[in-house]
Amino acid sequence: MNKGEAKYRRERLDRGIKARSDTIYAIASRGDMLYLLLPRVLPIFVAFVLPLVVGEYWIKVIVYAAIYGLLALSWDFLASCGLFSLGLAMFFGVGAYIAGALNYYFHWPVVVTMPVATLAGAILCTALLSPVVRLKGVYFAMITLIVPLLLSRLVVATKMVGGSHGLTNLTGFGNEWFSVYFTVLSLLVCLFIFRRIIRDDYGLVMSAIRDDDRAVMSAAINIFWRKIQVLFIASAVGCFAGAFMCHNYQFVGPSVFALDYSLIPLAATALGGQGTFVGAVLGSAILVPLSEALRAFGGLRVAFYCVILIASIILLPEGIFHYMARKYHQIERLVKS
Amino acid sequence: MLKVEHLHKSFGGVTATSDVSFELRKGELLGLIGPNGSGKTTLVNLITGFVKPDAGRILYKGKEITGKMPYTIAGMGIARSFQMVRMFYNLPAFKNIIIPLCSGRVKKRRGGRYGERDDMAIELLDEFGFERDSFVPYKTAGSLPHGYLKRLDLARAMALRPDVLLLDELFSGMSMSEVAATLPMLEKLNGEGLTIIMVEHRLKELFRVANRVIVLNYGRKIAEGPPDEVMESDAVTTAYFGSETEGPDSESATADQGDSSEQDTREIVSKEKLLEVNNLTVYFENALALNELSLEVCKGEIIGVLGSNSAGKTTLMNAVSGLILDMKKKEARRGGERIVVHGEIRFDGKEITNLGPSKRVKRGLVLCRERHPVFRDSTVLENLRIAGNFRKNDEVKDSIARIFEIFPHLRSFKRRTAGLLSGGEQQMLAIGMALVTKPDLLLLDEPLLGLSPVLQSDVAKAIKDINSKGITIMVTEQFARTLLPIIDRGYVMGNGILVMGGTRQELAEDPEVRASYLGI
Repeated sequence: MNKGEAKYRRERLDRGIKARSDTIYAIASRGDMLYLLLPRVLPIFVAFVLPLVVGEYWIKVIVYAAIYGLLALSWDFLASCGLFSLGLAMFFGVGAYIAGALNYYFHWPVVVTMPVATLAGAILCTALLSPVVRLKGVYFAMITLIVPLLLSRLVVATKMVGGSHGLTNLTGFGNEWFSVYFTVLSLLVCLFIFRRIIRDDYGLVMSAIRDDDRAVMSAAINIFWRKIQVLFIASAVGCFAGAFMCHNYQFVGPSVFALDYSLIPLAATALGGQGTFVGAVLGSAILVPLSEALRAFGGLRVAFYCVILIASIILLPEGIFHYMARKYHQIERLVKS
Repeated sequence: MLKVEHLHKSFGGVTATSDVSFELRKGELLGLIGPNGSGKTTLVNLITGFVKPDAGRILYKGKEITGKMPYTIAGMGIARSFQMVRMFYNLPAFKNIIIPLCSGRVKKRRGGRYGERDDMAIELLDEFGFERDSFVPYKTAGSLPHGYLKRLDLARAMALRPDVLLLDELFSGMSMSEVAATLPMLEKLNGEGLTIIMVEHRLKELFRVANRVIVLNYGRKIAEGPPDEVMESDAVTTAYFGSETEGPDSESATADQGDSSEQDTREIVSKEKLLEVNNLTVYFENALALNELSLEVCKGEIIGVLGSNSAGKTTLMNAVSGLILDMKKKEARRGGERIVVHGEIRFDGKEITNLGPSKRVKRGLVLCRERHPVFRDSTVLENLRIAGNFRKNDEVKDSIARIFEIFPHLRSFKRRTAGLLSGGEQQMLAIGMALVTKPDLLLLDEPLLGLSPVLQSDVAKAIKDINSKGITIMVTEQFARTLLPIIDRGYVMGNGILVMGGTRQELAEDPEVRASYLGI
């Protein structure tokens, strides 16, 4: 230990509510109330006000960000249970195709196709993946990576549901204000539900399965059934995002199985911070607009995008959200020792 | 209650269990003993469904449970603890207990509304010595000392309200006082009608409570009966304690005598200091792990560091090997626990206090960590090559040949995957891996942990062998019995400070050491 370090050391102090334990706290003043509410209410407020102040183009970007946010939530939810997926495009694509096909062939209205696509898609995805929930880590990831590629090939090769041309002229929403508020609201609702689940004993079992599945098995819990439940919830969210997007574009084609839909949510979660869900949303709220803003650089856009991503992951491996939360709750200062 | 018929299991050509049959009666406490690698843990895994048998049947309450999933078997009332504790280290201790409380088996009987399980878990932990009003149940499992984790594992198994409890080496790594506190709990549970199977190396404690004992060797059952009877049979003593000695108590005595003749030659050990630790202090966020600790190691010595669990032995080893700097960096990066290290460490005359662990290895200071960490998916030979990565190829070849001389066992297993080796063999491999790097000072952290008596003396012998090739050794241990005969000098630690230090004779004659570490 060198001398400079010996004289001064960093001290971390908790900020905020004084009267508290791990689970209970007492709000003693208006300051405490603000301390708790501000980080929760402010982002929601911003999310609702932002579409009013930005232009038409950026409203579209907000819709994309929210959709990627939903996919990132889906990824984070799976990861909380130890299921590391590289194939969110599967959920997205299956949802999109079911909604699109119902609308194209049977002319079902959007109010029907979306819930049906969400549920039926979730059942289909869960059924497809349930045989592989026994696989762990990289093996599960590999299967999930392959399935969407396989599905897109299947659609092109068999020329079913529009083949490589896709299904066009689907019913749209017709109203940008509706699109943007509907997606933002869905994202927030999903976020709250997921956070509620993960804080409950159900979420405790999920994270325990991620940490050590053998120990969970020895506690008489059917981990495979649990994983299938988690898979169902996560795929429902992904399918919902897909169903929405196909009506938003008024088009569905094999591109819905593209790698983008698998990897951007993953990158967003890595950037924002895994495990809290807020990080996943925050990550996509940063990544998607950033990628739009970099369009000015033309061909170099992707390179810049990657550099920013790599830099942030090296500098803040824990994720932006964890870093911000720590800075918010703690003060660091140097003290003489 | 439980009936096992002609059970057979082999892993990649190695027979772990062969034709084992026994019956377990309700309310019984059955001991399961045998040397390392005799198939005890495999048997536990077979019964609890973690491993599927190749042949044979397991019946529980008249129903066949062979090949059922572990959670189904646990749900039927067969709970287990793990030899290597498997905890959810990021969760607070009491949250670990909530997992079994969420299972169908417990849910059906008792409620589980929000927060209710928290109270149930804390209540249960209170019974197992985690006082409700202390901080202990709320601390993360990863920050608890090993003895607590073992009891936490027991509590987690008991949360299922099982009818049969399988304990896989519950006492390994527990201190004398922890064992003394846990034994009555088991007796009480057994008295309340719980059927227990205990896999154990601590025979003295086991025999106090067991009704019946089964002895395994090379996967076969070689004896069965009441404890005293079993211990008298010749087959058992030969298999378990080695042929030349009659029992665990006489063993250390004979070793002691054997050594005293050598005593004079040992006196000439050079007085040149190899390692000096001055005023070493290590704080963790809330706890003082080492307090102004000073010690020295001379060239050619074997130094023993004795102390109970959480005395700071492992922290000392981590500090000397430099691993603590790595931990400190990692924790600082993710904003976790703050670790502060003060003091000075000198090795071979040069200060190394701020040197990283890998640089220390290159200078000849190597640590073999606790609980024999090996690369489980690589073969024995690969493990040794990985460890010798930074040495030249020829040198590594030489060292590996020498290691096989010290551990002839390993030579015959050199193409076998390390994860398939028994605990004792893995320990030898771990020591071998440390030796490949050609250390001047070898640090061994609890190398005897979880080994059977005969293997303990094997490893102790190996330590002497290694030392005679000119390598200085510092070794930590909880129980002095096997260690004391081989060391030149020893230190006794307690709560992060040195309680005493001295030569082997001084330690052996000290009444306090005799009482707390020799079990006399």
